[in-house]
Amino acid sequence: MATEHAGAPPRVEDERLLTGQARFTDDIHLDRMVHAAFVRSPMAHAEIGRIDPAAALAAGALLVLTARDLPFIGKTLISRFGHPSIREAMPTLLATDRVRFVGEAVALVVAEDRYKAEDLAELVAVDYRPLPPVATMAAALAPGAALLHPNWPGNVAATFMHETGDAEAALRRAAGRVARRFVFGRQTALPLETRGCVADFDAGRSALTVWMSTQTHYNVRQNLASILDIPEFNVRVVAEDVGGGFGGKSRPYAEEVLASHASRVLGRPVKWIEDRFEHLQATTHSRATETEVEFGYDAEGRVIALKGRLLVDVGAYVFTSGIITAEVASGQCAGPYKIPNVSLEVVCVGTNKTPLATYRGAGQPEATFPLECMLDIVAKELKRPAADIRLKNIIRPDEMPYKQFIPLYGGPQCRIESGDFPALVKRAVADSGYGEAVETLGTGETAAWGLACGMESTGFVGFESADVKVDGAGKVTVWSGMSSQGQGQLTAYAKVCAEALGVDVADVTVRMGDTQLLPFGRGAFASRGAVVGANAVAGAAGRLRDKALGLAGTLLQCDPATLTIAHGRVCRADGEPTSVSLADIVEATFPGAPLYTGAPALQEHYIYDTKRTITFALSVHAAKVAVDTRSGFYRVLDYYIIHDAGRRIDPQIVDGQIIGGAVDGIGGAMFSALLYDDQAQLLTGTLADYLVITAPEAPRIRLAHTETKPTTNPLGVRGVGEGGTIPAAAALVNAVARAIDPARTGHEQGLFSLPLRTEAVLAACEAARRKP
Amino acid sequence: MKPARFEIHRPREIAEALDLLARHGESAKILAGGQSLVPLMNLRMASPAVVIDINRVAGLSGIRTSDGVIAIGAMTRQKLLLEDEAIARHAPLLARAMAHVGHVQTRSRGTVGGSLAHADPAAELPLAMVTLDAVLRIRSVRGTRAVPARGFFRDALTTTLEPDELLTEIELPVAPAGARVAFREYARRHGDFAIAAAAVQRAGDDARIAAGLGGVGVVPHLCAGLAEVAHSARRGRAELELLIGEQLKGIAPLSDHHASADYRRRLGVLALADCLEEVMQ
Repeated sequence: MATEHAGAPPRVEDERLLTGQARFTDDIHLDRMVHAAFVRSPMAHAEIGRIDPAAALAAGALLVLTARDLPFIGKTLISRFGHPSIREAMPTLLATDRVRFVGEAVALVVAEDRYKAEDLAELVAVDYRPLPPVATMAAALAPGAALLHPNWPGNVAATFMHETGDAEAALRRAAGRVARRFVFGRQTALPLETRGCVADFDAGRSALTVWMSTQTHYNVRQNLASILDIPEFNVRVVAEDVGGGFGGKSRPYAEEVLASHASRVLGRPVKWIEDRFEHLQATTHSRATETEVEFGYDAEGRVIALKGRLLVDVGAYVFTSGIITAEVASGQCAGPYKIPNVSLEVVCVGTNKTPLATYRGAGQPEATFPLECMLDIVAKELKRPAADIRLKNIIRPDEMPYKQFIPLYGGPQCRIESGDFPALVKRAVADSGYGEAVETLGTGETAAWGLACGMESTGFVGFESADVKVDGAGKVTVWSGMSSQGQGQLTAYAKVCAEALGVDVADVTVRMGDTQLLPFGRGAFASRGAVVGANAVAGAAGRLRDKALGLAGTLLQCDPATLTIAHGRVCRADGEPTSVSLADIVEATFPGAPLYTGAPALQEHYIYDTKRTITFALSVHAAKVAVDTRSGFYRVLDYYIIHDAGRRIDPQIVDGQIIGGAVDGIGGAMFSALLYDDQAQLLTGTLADYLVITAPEAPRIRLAHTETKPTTNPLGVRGVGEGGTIPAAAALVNAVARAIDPARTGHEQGLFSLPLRTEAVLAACEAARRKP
Repeated sequence: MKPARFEIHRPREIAEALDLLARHGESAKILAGGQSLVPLMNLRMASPAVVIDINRVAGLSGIRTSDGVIAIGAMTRQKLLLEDEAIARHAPLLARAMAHVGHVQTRSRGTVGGSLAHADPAAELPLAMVTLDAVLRIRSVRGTRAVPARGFFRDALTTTLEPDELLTEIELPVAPAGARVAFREYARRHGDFAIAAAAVQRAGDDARIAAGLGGVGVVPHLCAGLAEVAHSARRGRAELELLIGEQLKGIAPLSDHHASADYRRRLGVLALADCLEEVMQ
């Protein structure tokens, strides 16, 4: 891939980011700033008796905050993601009378530096009276289990059904039926930069400024304003440089509220930087699903019924992303396939663990893993090529727009309006080297290919704002309501604006990630940067172009329809430059100038509305994996992706998203698991235990593109933030299952638990060897 | 993840370091490369009152070869073992093992002595030193002693070092001419501590075989009596694995979330069998 982009210009943001000039939260140093550390629960489940800060205060703590010290303790964070089935259980901002997971914040300690704050936090005496911990979903659902919340009978936080057709009847008439169980382990988004904030309350103005590491600065602002009772216009949240998010920072948390309150109480700026140990406990987790599913299929391999149960371990509370994982993982259970009869019971189960929220894919990898592995089993049962089974079931272009029966995200229609899915499957098979034979390598390993399709739903949360302005020098500024965690929006939006307005990319400066820039915005999540954010920029720039041409028509005394703009200069229809530049128009419309109308001339604001559409993007992954059947160790030998991202605004950025996403998906499938013991103590509290893929394990990824333009948005883009991750686990596991036994089924149940442990692979190899 | 308060001393001479150790003993930790101690302190799993930083002590690093002995200073950075020609020539097994130790970043700071004194059950350097029958030079104000690596490791993270002692040098016999070596490791990721690792050196003509197994038990295990087993390598893989399995019966394998006890044992057998096959070829 590197060679393809060898001559491509670097991204606008690269020089700052790569030469250490970015300003991340921990780079903010303010005069008189003090440091916060949290006292977090070491117990998974306990009643809290007395909390005594006396020793910490006596030893020099500037402030200790407990629930009792918060005048707003009756208020909780506002979730933007509701679902009618949710039994509300939002944690209080600090634990009041009970803690329900290891890492739950009990008190905040402020000191002159973080070292002291940690020393003093150890001196806060908390009287915990242990309650029986609920460590697994099975334990939570067992009769007589300790209850986490009074309104969660049986520890069920939410439950609902997805039903269409008659799955039971379809199963009865099916030519064949297969049932399996799938476990997607608990994982976390793990951005390189942990969360953190610097809160500075200005008592004179009653104004709060918070620099912080978040994906959703406007949502944070809303929470700070409402909980702390500060007018929203007096709250500024700045998140201009954020070192990765991947869903972990897509929501408000208590810590920024508490640091802000501490700043107000102390009259000093307060910094809190989450350390990695805290991050693994206190930042939301994700995945954590168990799917029991049965497929019924006809003699041709058409899946006619899907019946099952999806359990989601939501942890100790329904936090500020609601039950989005459960909604998406169930809503996408049929992916890009036509399955006419579905009955899926969804149960969100409470356990004494960190609350669950989103991580790259947000339910889609969890849905795709069972679906794509089941298709391989159907193929083996019917002795048909796995690709053929997919072609039999996948939605064809002539069937589009295809309305999937299942509501997604409790709202927008799941309407798959364009794309050539069969073509992608065929190209993946033709170009990857994919085959269904098993090879024996010189090393003694056996190698095989695995295939999986992944459908990415992009552009959820359908509004975003942008403002484009030309200044007196003809330079263009774009303000966006989005945020960036390094994805490259500054480059992409500059390109979009330059194209829509008719200026050079070098003349465009893009700013985002600061609530002071625009009154309204959402942020970077759900692969909405291009689908929603860039379309807002294009809308604003397009309007500005029309306005500029209207004024140019007046100045040049001609019909604006005969004019165009190129390189910042107004041109005739034939391309001949006129004497008028965008800077000239700005000058002519300044206050006091002839065309001044009482309003800034070359500035336009635009809010893009997706009109409740979702833009879908399909990709097909093919993985070649070698398995050492003596040890169970396996490695990825080759990896091919064909992806339809629609129009690629910046091909280099798109490639980076897809390859990075795939490596994330492969790593998650191979290594990453948050493990708890039977007392619900987190065993993987450091990166020596929570394993992340590193370069030597990552395969070289061959990436190909196809382009079909969606009709959902003017730019014709499909989101790309998560697609690389979605099918990776299924492709990998299908390859391992085939390498162990290409023809038969029955050995693979142990492979359907992610991450795929080599020990489980060895057990599957032995199971296959034992079969007659 | 900030360490608790501690006092730091930065001696420049060995004698000064030994005095500090004699004075602070139990409450002190030696800071070498810091690749284990510093994370433990940051997590407050270790909170030594005194840290004695020996990075500035003269004469503790470097590799010398004379009279059939390779002497490695305790503060020698691990990366040097991969780069040093004498190691490649005279202790090829050590060079092989080093390729599995951590990453460029950790090897650039991590020291040979630090890894041995820390005594992680799954670390490669202790395994290599036990297999190669290294001798560890240890000093204190009370005097100097030499301890064979094979008697140095007592338990997980526990050695025979007394609180006032400093490991100063490691001596290895030069590998005999024609020696064949093999090192195999199963780790979850490249550079991770081993789930199981095997080290084997076969000395030239007389077919003396030294074999060690790491990661499986709490300390590196020297597999005595493998010479006969090795000869059976020519009698078939299944038999070889069975015989090795017999040899390993005395080890109680570790079990944790990285690997179960049975799996560790299985991988240990595979790694040893592969190594033996390789050196017998």
